[in-house]
Amino acid sequence: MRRVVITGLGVVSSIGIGKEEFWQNLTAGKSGISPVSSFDTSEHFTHLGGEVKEFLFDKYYPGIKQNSFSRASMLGLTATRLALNDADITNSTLQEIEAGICMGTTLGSVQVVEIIDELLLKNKNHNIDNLICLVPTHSTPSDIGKINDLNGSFMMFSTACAAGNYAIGYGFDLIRLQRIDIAIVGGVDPFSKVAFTGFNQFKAVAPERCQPFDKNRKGMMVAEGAGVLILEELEHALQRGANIYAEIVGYGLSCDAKHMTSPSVEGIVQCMKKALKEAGISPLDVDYISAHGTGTPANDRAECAAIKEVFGERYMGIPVSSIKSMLGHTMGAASAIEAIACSLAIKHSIIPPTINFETPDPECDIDCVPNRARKHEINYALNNSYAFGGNNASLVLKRFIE
Amino acid sequence: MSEINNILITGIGVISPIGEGKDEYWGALRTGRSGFREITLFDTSDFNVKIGGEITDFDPLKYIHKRHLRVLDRSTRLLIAAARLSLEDAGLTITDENTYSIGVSAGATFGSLHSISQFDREGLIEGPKYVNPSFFPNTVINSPASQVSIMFKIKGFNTTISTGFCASLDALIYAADFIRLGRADVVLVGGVEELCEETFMGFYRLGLLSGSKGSPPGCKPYDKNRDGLILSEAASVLVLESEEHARKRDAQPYARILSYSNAFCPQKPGMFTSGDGLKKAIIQAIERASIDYEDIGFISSCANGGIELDKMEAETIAEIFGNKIPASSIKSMIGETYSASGAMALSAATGAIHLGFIPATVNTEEPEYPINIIKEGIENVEIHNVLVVSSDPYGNNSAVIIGNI
Amino acid sequence: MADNVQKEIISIVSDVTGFEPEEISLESNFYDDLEVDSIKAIEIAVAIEKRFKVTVRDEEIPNITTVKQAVDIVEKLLEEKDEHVQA
Repeated sequence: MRRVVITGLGVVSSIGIGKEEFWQNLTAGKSGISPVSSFDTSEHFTHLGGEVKEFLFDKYYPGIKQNSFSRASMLGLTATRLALNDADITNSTLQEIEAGICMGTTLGSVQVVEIIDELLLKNKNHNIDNLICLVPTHSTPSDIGKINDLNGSFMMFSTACAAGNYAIGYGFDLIRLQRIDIAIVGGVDPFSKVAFTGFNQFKAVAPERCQPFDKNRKGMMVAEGAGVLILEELEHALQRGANIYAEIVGYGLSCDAKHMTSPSVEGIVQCMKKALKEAGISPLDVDYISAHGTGTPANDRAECAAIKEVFGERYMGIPVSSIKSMLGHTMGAASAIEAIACSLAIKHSIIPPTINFETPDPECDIDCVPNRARKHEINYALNNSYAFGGNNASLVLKRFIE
Repeated sequence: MSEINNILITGIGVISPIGEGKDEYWGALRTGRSGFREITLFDTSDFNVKIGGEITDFDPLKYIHKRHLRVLDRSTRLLIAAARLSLEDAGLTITDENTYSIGVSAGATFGSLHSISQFDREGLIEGPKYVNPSFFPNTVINSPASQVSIMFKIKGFNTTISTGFCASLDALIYAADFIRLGRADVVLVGGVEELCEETFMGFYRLGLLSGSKGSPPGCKPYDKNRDGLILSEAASVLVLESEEHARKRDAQPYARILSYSNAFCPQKPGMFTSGDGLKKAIIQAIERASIDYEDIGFISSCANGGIELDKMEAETIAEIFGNKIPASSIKSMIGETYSASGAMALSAATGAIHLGFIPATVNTEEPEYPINIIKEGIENVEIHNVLVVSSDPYGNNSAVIIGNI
Repeated sequence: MADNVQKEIISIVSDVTGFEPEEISLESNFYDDLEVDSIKAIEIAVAIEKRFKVTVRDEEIPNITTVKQAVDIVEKLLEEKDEHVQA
């Protein structure tokens, strides 16, 4: 079977745009949470979120008209350009080979729907024709393909908050199946009023800070962002002397088949087990777990119970951190951005922390790398993601050795 | 020899404007019955067009217990019903032992648009503190597929693919890859879209609906006088199964997956693409099936009466096949079911192979293109292989070839 | 008044859970008898707030386990509201 490596990283997040700024802030434990400015939150229960504030699309795509894209597309396009530049892949390379795009999202171009709803409530005859074309979720991979001269095909996964991992996983499959040599994979979600309102109504949003695994954790932070990785067939990467961050060696999916929103320990356990099995490794081999770790009481409790079950007595010895403590929950982008964090963690042998941690919770007695980044050699990292619908996905990344 | 030859279709479930269940559906396709009627699901007084492919006699209580029904949106109800029919048809029982080797792969793009809008508008009108939390889970696009897993306790995996018109063919491609990679023995492959005001308005305002310029609506694929599509709703689920698994449980397969491909070509200004992507997908699929062009019994085309799509597809078919291979669009009867359209076409093609017929492209009177369009249904014909295609204006093109057992 | 509150609450609970009003009594336990989960509990609370124009504190929701407890709380909130109006 062909081997698949990661050769480019592109990230747009509340704590930084581009891998340098992102990694610097991630290891410094910086928070990207700020008052929401996308819409008026005065009637909501909470008012903070992880928005991407200074986002200069022009810098990455000079001369391209912005109003022909949804915010989801602009986030995705920017992360893609950053990743392609990082991988040193030009559009002419993309034209010469078979490349694919696999993107994931929770609500896709939902911001466009929100704008349309508001316009039409004010005046039902308002002209929204230009906006309609931006509504389909797959306009994002379509825009990425169009602007970057893609020669191949695209897939759009709408598997909610695990979508990034689904997309990365299928890109990995397509390369292994010899259908493509390069995959542009990742996830994207813009800041959505529907998501913000929904999680608020679920009483699942923290009023001040996101504190994964803390006894007094009060919930998640809604956020936005995009994460794009360049996956490449190993020989192709070696031949052109590409910089290799890490190798992808397997992933696992499972479905809780129980409840739309409450996590199930059994489902998460199966998901991690399948990922380890496909990677051909045992729980003993895992050096780092990038947790789904949303900071809601239910998620963190279930995830820790599942880690305990999969890793047995070793569970307290494995560093498990949640970067959502810093970025907030970027929905469909989350697991893609977390896969980027894993790649950098492997490359630099540094584990990003779980910030805002104060009080240990006996139900979450894992080693959550509290508040400070830690030097730690990683051979295998496990990237967890869980979603509405009980759609679970865990990805295994490995230090690259020829 | 095709590069894949061990994936079978062993069950079919359909909920459509022309029939519920595979027998009714295949029967309607053979008699050329169409499913267009005055829309009752929402108020059409703001629109020139009042016709759609609405499913009128659907009773969700036949498939879903009343207590679970309340929070499920229409897309979810339709997909659960189609999934139940497909499982019954396949004679497949999901147990604690086999559940982790069974998955769900569904195409849906606008499936939750109505739920998103309703939720959003409730917040705008009532205030965000009074929005009903129980309807929030419906806003995610993977809700219909996830509810299928919840209803039937399917735990292997659950994937929703949103690639517009191509979504359910792409869902099949994904599912077949998963079986090939040993991740699953069985996958429920499907697609769903509901007819709702939001989607209807979108197609209407872009001028894509037949009748939007005042003439009486009619879906006439490839016709000189076509003026657009008729928007519809449907759900279809096919049970895809590895041959080994099917054999072990003595399943009765209808057809075999021979090959598939998808290819991108960039969207042009306006809602259309060139035929390059579709051409590539078709040629790749035929190569991968290791069959000759003449071995294709008919092409299940995606023409929907749209000006640009039909032209692009007809020209591509003409370029590859000349006028030799019969082509037929079931959208002339069902209308445009968008992300469900691929699954509807696959279910139709499976019936065509199983029963030996080619469905008609009804309503098409004066074809504009030199391809072999089937205007009258053909019976008593042995069909070995069917090429099913989908093309999306955002650039994806998908082709699947299924063959007889 | 008390009868009305009870009737209205049973009607709300019936709408949310899908159980018929006749199947719901004051003694019914939301979680054990009526298949209520955390989301449905919030939904019932939001519906009650909307209907009676009162505010149910988030912390209180998990403590309300039976229909009778819900009725009692709403009556108490309504009384407090009346006092405020009179004051």
